[in-house]
Amino acid sequence: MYTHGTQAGTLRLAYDAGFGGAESLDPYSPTRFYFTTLTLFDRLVRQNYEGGVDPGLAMSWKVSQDARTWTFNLRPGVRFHSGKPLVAADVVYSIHHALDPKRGSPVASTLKVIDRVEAIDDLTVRFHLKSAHADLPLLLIDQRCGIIAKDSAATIEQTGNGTGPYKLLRNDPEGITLLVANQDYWEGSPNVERIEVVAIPDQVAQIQAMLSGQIDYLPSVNRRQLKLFENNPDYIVQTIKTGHWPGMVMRTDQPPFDDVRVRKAMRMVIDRPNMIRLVLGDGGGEPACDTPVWSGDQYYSAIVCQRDLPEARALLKDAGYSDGIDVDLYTSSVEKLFISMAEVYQSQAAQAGIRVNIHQVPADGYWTDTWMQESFVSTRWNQRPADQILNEAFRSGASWNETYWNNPDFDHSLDMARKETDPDKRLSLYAKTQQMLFDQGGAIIPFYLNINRVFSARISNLPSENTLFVEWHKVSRE
Amino acid sequence: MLRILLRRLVMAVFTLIFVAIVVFGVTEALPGDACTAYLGKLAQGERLSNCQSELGLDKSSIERFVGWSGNVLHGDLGDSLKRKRPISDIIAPRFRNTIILGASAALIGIPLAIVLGVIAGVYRDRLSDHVVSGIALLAMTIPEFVIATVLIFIFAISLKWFPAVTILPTEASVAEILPNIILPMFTLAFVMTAHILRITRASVIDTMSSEFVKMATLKGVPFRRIIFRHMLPSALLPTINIVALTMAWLLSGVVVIEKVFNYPGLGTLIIQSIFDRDLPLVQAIALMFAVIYIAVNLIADFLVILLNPRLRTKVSAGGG
Amino acid sequence: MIAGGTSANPVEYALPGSGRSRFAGIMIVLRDIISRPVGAIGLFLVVFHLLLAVIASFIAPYDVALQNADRILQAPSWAHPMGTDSLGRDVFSRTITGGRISIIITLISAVIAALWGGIVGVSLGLVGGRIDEFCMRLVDAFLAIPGLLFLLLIVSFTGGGVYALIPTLSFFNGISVIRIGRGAAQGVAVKDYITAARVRGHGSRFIIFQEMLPNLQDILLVEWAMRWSWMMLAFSSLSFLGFGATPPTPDWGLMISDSREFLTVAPWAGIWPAIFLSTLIIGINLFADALGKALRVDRQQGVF
Repeated sequence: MYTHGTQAGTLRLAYDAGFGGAESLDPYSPTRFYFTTLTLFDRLVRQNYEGGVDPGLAMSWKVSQDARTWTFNLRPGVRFHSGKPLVAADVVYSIHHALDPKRGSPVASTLKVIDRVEAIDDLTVRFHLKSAHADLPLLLIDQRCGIIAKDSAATIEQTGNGTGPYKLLRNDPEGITLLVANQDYWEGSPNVERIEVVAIPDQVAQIQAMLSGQIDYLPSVNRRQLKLFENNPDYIVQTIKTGHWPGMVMRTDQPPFDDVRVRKAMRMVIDRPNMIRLVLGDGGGEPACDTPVWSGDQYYSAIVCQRDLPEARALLKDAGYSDGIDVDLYTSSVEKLFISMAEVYQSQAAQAGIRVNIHQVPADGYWTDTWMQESFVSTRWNQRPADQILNEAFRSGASWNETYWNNPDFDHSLDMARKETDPDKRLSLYAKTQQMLFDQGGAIIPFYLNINRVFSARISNLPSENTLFVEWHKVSRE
Repeated sequence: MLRILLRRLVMAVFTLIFVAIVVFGVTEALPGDACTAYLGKLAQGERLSNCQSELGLDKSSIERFVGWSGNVLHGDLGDSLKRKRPISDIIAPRFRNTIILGASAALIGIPLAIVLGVIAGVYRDRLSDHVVSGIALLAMTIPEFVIATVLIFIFAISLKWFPAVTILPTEASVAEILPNIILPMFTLAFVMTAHILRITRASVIDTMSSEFVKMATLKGVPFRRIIFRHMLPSALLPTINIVALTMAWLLSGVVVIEKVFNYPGLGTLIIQSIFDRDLPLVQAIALMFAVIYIAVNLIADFLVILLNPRLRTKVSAGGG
Repeated sequence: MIAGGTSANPVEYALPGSGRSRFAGIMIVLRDIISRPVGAIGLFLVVFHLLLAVIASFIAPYDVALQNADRILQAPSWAHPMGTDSLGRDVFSRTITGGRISIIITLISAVIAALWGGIVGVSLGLVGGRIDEFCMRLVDAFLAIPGLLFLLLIVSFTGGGVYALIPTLSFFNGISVIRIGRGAAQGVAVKDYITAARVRGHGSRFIIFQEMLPNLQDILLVEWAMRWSWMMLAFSSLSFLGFGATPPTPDWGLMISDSREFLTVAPWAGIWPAIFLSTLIIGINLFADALGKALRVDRQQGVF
């Protein structure tokens, strides 16, 4: 019979069934079963709430002078759900599995600096890099870098055999997936006995399930929906800052945007707090100053930007556009925010004589036919660590270098930062690259998005941090 | 009699073939390509061409239709582009769930509709007729999603009697499903009842005014006997076909109901597969809906023929 | 098939004639409709909604797309008689404008459906024989195609937006009209005046357009009204599913869909569009019923 609410000791959370049944329990799969893989697997290291790195399956690590060899000491006594003890060979296997081009793992490009991994003894593993990288652990905190057992590639999609705080009882990504506490977890038995991952693709249905008490955790609700739960003692609402950003990018290799004065003027006309308010609603995001490194990143450089219409006009006049300038912005409903952002930008830019002509193209084919083709387009990126986003989206020649940004000094600074083993010097190098993007770059990044989540007041010990970094085994439920 | 049944079957098969051609043709004619839609930001260069050759999108439409229809004949609907699994595996539990929802609604709706329709027809233009017909009109005209939303608001969120959305394991048994689908079942039954009730009522009114009922009344046959022995059989038999057509038509309304209640049936699946641009899956589901439609009509045909020997010789056209 | 069993009773006033007598005929029908309480209500609702659709932009107090972050989900007040929605837009302005797109599209589609279905149906009824039989098999087969799914496909893939619905809606509904038209034509085909026309040496085309269609116009008129109401239902379902009108266009189906999650805190944002949508469809239905009675067209109560 149907029961209301859930039994004590069971946590029910909504999952949007994003891959529609193609969900894989292999953490390296492009269609990994998000959330479930988070609790089934452990990483070598994990991100702490300050943006730094904490031990995970690796208790300690050492880097060589040239920053090209990393040695990790594994935690003894850790067992996979199947009972097999964790050894260095499993780590070697996992990383090679991730790098195998046949698997098409999205994490492969993040880890491509790794040349090979070798097991020194049962509990010591060594990473050999192709080039120096002083922040390898920052790459390994990626949620996708779960450690799987040696030779389990063929079965991992179904078994989800990891070392994580929860074990798989039933895999049913389009129905109810059951997870039970791993009593032998190395950091102690989890507080919540069972987790049920409930597939509810429809956003409104998720809300209704939450309101009628069928689930107790909703990973993402929009600003407007918060109204339903705020001021209600049965629910707890959390707003979490992220580094996800939507933006508009100019091609720095094409006129009129090949002129740095034009690019600067285009970015200077934005009233960022006002744009957040109109596009996202109050508190929907944090202002950004056109750099992709977000405020939660340890290499974030606190650049200040102000709207300056007279200066923008002056820059345009300097560049030969004394009567203002006409620009074509290509956008699409492929992302909900794009259109409203474009419209707000259009009205703000008009005040400095920038006449934005919005071309709305079909969502189908936007990323192939418009993005990285036209000279001024909408874009969006998910949160990435500084090193990753700067290299993937701004290094000359990178396949997603959407601004066609080509600056040898910038590239060189990125290389230097990777090699630099002194954290302070590294920080100043990353700050330099961000300043370069702010001074000359082609990306308009007006804000980083906030994510809201709602859960039942019966849940406790759930810190206001990104789901990716929450230690789920410490969460409890009445 | 056997010959008529056989002819019906053959017609059904031809209809199915025709539907297959139309379904494939229309999905082919649409602009867009499963790979570009599916890969999104990643749809460039090698990744795109690999995807296209993997899915056979580089072959001509005709080649693919021949391959597709051949496979369908062998019960192989192909693999879903997005889910990378055999479509038959994906569809089977969904198909079953939609049938469970439709059948349980029909089990409530049809008897209710017949009883109410007969009452409304026999007591035409009296208060009971006005009440029944009025409610039926509302049920037919108020969109399902409005009815469903109101039911959720009252019975799930306010009273907490029934679940608002369906939360079930994919392999749930019928006994597990039924208590969880009371609201969607009721919504579908409500609309179904209204449509069938109107048909029944009209047919009862027709029959009541026919000569033989008048004759029976004149002969002094008791009212109750007239209703049950004379009027009902001749009023209800001819409605079987139209009831079947209506029910089959209402099945496409199941898409809306399934969506509102998050019901894991074919309806939610087709919306998802259209969003994913998963054309093979879309084609297969469209074919499934056609199969349901044809099956419901075939059953109705057989029922009519079996129940009424007089119709053996003059079966009405269509329904297949 | 029972569904096709419509019988034609062309009455005097509906015959083609001078403008004046045609006007008189229309007045007689209207008077008949109004004389029935059900018909009067139906006609009132339909006229009310049509008028509203025309004048809505003149009487709407606010811009339908105007968002106001300070007035989100506000209860009805003097400034906003129906409250505001989750983007702070005026529900009253949006509700009175919200029928426009659906009415335009379904009205046009229903006319096209009744016309093409009627012409094809009547022609088939007249021609008869093998062609007729073959075409009716095709019609049966087409009915097995899930129409709603095709609407979803066309809208989401062609990128033609909501107006791409017109050909699709008219096509699928016209298929069902063929049966009606054919059944009716078979009823009149033997009538004396057709025979007379044949004797006079007129061809089939003349007979279809000059003799039969005018005489079947009553049936097609009632059919048109019923199709219209079903199309309104279908269109609102599409909008509700996110395949119809696109935001920020005000549309009842879309408004209901957008606001249903806020039902617990702001019921007004969804209730008003629901009431308007339902009253229009009820109105069309009542009007169609009364129209059928006034024209003495005996329509079976099926969708087909």
